[in-house]
Amino acid sequence: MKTLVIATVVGMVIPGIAAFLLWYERRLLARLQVRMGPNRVGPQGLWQSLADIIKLLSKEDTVPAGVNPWLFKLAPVMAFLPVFMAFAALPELDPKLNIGILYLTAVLSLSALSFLAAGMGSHSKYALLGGFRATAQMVSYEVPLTLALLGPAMAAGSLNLNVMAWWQQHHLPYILTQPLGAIGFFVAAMAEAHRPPFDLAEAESELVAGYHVEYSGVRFALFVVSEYAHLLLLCWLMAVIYLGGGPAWLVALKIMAMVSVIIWLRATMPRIRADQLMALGWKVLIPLTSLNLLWIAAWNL
Amino acid sequence: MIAERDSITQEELVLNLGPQHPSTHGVFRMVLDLRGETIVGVTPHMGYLHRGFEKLAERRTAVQYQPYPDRWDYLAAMFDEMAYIGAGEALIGIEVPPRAEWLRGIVMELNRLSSHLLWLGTFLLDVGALSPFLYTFREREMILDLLMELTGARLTYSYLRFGGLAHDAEDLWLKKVKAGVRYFRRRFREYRDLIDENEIFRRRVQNIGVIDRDRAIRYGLSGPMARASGVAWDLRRGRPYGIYRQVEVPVITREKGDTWSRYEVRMDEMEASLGLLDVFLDSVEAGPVMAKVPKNIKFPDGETYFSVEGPRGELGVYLVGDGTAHAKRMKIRPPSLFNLQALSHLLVGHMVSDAVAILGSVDIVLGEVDR
Repeated sequence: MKTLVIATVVGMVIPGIAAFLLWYERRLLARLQVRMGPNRVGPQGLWQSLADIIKLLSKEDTVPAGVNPWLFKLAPVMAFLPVFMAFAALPELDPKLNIGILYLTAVLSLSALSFLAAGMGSHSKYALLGGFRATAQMVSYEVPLTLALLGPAMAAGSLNLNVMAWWQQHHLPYILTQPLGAIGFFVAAMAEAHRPPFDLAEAESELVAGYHVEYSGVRFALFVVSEYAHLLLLCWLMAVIYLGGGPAWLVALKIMAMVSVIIWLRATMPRIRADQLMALGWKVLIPLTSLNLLWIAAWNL
Repeated sequence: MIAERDSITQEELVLNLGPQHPSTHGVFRMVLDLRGETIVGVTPHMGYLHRGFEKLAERRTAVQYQPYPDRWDYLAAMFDEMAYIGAGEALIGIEVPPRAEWLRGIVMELNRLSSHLLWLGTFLLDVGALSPFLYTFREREMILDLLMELTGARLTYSYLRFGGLAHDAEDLWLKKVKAGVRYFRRRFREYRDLIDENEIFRRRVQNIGVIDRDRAIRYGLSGPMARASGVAWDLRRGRPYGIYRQVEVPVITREKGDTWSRYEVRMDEMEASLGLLDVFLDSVEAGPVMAKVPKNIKFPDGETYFSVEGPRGELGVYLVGDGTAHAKRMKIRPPSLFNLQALSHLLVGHMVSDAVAILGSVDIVLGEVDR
């Protein structure tokens, strides 16, 4: 029964929240760029994403000539599934999952496959380059992300996300005791979710749309929804692991704050280059998060 | 180690960028040979927007041809008009009244601002920053509004005539320009605060697409491209025409010749343009805006070359007359085309992301490249 409830919530509510985030981003970005943004469909344009999704769902299902049909059709699902599976580990949904972080890192690393599949299977050079970039990015930023997750786990002495949140409510939030880890997690999370300035895998001005350039209709919608769900997941993790969690409304507030900062960064920053991205990941973030780990280890001695 | 590297098969990827690519600024197409993401070869293809403007000058009378120059470089149409009209005036020998010269200066500097603003927005879009594009378009829109109020058109003005201007500017309009200059000064400070010190932007453009002074001269680069490589050559100063004979134009140069220098040169040029506008607005004098010219303008026997400093560089018109109302031959020297020659030198060895940024920093307008 409980599993069913979780499945329903993840399956129905999360896409809804992702659609809301899509609207929120477009609206806030527009305000930052002296534009109006979508404001016609429903109050304040709130139903815009819903209308977009309906439009995408009703489109013809096209598979371009020359693609590898298996990879091409599987890729959006492979992008969608791991992200949604990861939600099951969040403390608001399952407070007792004792292998929370282990499960998260295991499941999230699967989504790199989808970008590779989309890039390889699309029979397009832009998609190929985008897929390569995305995969390289996912693989390299998995490491600092995991290292940054380990810090709080070590401090709380548990892999259970709920225990970490509980620990912070009775002591200090980890963002204060482990600032290096928090920064590392934030940057790595943005890179994992392909948020600007790390969106080079789908760089509009270079690769047109990167790995999902050949997709339309439902498959494209799956990519977009999973991207925003990924963003939501990582902000949620940040809220729980580094910002102290709390009751649902507080977590929601923290998530919205994180999302707003990320959108603000998108409005301000130019895009980083592929080699600079790698340099940042391997030469800055990994030492930074390792240092954080050492610091926590020394603290706990 | 070497043997190991040889055992991996390496293949070059041919990537076609354009003519519908969002970042090739119109219908430019380049075919990149890639090894990984590194560019090893570039084949540019142009001509998708060829409309035969040089030949048209032989088939239209001098006056009929007047609206055509607006379509060469549609982002800086005043300069094209000035080049064509200036060449005609030089060939025929028309003296332009002083007020017309001042007003030509004002509209040209306004147009330079609007052109550079569009460049700034699209260049930053190429580098991946979204917002400045919308900010610069807000300001550009105001300049276009001003020009529309004066000439009736946003881009293709047809404002200059052989011997002067189509019509006079009102005092109220000059006041509006003056207020606009003050407003733009404030906005430029904002741009520089937003962009200059951004670490990602600096890393994306510094030491990218370097062209040294000698090579810049040999490629025939002009305008901001040449000045960013340390060539102190500005036609407004070096071979002054019209009102620029009477004012001191600062020549802005940088030494390094990289994408960052080109950015800095253009940013400083915009501020210099604002300074020039101040001077022009203070010293514009009353009087007629049209000289006495015959109704049927005929190009006399002879030839002339007249060039102006456009926002992209030396924009020249070589005009041959044979005593009829048609030009015997007209040749345009479009600065973008010449600046584009250096493309393969600029791109090879860099990455795909840099290619887009470098192409953005060259500031091409395909209407002018292809004519």
